[in-house]
Amino acid sequence: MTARAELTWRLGVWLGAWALVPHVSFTALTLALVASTLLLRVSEARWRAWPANLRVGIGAFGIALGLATLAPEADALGRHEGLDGVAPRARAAWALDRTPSVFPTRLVPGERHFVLAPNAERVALLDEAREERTDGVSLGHGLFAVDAPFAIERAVIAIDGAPSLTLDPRAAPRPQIGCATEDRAVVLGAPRPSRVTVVDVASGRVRAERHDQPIHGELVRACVSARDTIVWGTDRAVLDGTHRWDGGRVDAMVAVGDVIAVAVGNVLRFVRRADRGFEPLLDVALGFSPVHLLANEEAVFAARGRRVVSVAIPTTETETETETETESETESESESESESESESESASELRRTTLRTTLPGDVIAMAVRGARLAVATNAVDAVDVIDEVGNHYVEDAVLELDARTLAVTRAHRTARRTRRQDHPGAVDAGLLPRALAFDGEKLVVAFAGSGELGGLVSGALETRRLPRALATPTALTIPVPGVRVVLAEPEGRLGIWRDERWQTIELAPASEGARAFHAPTRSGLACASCHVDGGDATHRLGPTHGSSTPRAAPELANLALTPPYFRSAAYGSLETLIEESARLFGGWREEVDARALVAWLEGRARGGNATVDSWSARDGSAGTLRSRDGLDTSMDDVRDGLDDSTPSHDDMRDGVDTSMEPPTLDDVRDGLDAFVAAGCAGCHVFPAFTDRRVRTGAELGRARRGRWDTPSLVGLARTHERFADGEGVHRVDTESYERIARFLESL
Amino acid sequence: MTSALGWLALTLFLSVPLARRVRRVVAALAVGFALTHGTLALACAGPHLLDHAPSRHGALASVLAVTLLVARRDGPVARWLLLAAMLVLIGLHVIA
Repeated sequence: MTARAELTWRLGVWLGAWALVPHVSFTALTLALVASTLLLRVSEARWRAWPANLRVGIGAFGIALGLATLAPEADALGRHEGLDGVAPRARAAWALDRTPSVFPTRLVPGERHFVLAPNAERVALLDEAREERTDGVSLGHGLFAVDAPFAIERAVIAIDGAPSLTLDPRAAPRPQIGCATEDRAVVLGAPRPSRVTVVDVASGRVRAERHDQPIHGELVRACVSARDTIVWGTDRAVLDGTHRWDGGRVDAMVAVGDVIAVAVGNVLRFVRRADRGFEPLLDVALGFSPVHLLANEEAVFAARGRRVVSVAIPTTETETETETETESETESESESESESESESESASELRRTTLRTTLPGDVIAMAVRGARLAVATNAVDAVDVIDEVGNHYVEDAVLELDARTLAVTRAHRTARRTRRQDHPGAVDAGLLPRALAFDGEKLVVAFAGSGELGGLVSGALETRRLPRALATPTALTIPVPGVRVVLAEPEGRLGIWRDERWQTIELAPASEGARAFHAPTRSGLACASCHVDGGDATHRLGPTHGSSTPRAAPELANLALTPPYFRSAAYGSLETLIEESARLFGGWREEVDARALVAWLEGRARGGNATVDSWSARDGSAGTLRSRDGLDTSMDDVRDGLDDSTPSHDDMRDGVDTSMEPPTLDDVRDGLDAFVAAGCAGCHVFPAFTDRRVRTGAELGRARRGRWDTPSLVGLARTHERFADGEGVHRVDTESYERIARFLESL
Repeated sequence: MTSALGWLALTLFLSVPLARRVRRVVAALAVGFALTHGTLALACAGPHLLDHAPSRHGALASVLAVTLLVARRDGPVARWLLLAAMLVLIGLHVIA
């Protein structure tokens, strides 16, 4: 008998024996191998007498039987044996465990990339398309920081002048409704970041498309309609057809009459549009970079996370006064309405112009009309009851606030069940309120989870299904009463509701992954319920594992290179995590393309907190970097208006810049020294600020047991994950803590 | 460290036709390393050791090693089959 025939016979007996007890594990396979070997040895004399062809036949049959049993279970087998996540781990090791290396590996315009190049003298980011170069800054310890410009699509990192690391191309841009007038709506960023699309609301036709670099070679980030024209906010300036005001990078803007409020980092800058140009009026320090910005006739409302601030619109009379007396403000940090009201009364007596409040949940969308300020959120009082209801208790809700006092006057919980529900506890309507707008007295709400458009009048919510092409609405505007303009970002479409019918305009390719991210499970929860997509909003999970601090649902960026997943590193791959989560919440309500969801999640990247352009004004050595012309002087002016109270723990958890002044380059270098000296860099290794290892509670010096994933710290300053459970893993002395905290602000 | 060395030594012992004295030394080292490693793992993880896939792979590799010893006088095909399975498990033990 040949060796091949012998192998067939033995393999067949082995796999056949295993197939008889098809327990999907290597344990069963090994025991079958041992048993078959011993069995064959014991009965050797007998089977050696059988004809060779018979043994080969039996062997072939056994192999076929074994493979037929094993093949369908291959995934489960791999998972059971801890092989899940080997591929992502290998990818991450290949990209990050070498020098030079860069993180994030995907280009993220406007954000900071960290490059580890121990022996390099210069690091730069090259925009090959536009032949521009952005120099990086050495932070010491072989680490460089380089901030990608906004208007960039492909880039290469050059080490000492030689192109060395090619960054993955930037993710598809996220379209937004820039502004809308009675007859047109302006969409920014689809399908390319530089594209501005003007849609005729009456006819539903695309009236004009402005292609690459529409406004003097600058990237449009926001726009407002002001009187007769559209005013554009770019990554450098505010401009209309004739005038320009270099007020810094525009993050958001809103107009009331001739006054325009522009969010530039942590500062709200008011400017008046006059015949002779833009006249700066007043700068107000907000203490955070607003994501939402809107206005009524009296005030501008800015929000990020749970924080909402209203700033009175400066008039000619109050302007001088506020500038000389400096900004003052009222803190109403509680959910208590009465407290908020009384504070605002005293505020008006003192001629205070700024009101602040902290809501129970993060602001996902806002709308204002007169004294009514509406906020879409995912928590009403979850933090108080979280111990009883568990971690993932999401309350999709719309809050109504008094715009004058910022006190919550009413909370409408929107998630509910319809007669279609077919599962205990299933909720299938009013899910994921993601956009709000007033139509007269009616508050219109767009639900991205259940694909509905609802009208809220006197506390009663009436909803109507959106067409499938607009099933995931992410933005809504009402240019004229009765007309609705809906942007469905995952579908890449703009819809206009007029004369009782929808008209849809394709702006960009649909993203199955983004759609799956918003698709609800039977429980009514979607991924986007807790991990709010965009706007730096999130959901606060309850205190668990004996900790008293509520935690925030983590940021879902940079997942591709930071396996394993979950705090306990329980999941080796995103596929498993998604599958298990969906099962936990009753399964998907409709079929979901999990592979597309994984791909979409892996495409999401986030860099560090780019403040390098402010370094340039403070540190001569970084002089090659871009500077924010005109901003630094005014930042000095408004520094007096800072809230100088010590940031509360809650502020820290909000993860936004609690101080007006970004860390200087010296602060960052000094902080990095302290970071390394304290041993932080032992686990949070450069450039990803994680070694991706799992550690036990004992290794971390914790009383608690269990396994802990080492998280990346990149993006920390703007996310809610300051410390995993509200306490630092390492104990460092107070002085080092301050220095390290300053450094972390730059991540 | 003990893990990789122990299993490597055991594999060498089982597969390479070395001189008898060398094989004895290698076998002694292998047994020492493997026992130390196994004891440490058991001390750290306790009875939950086999819930951990890599530990399970290590334990299974041990079982195969013993079977290989028992089956030494079988034909070369049986030996190679057992050896291949053991190497796969050791590989999994290291990477998973």
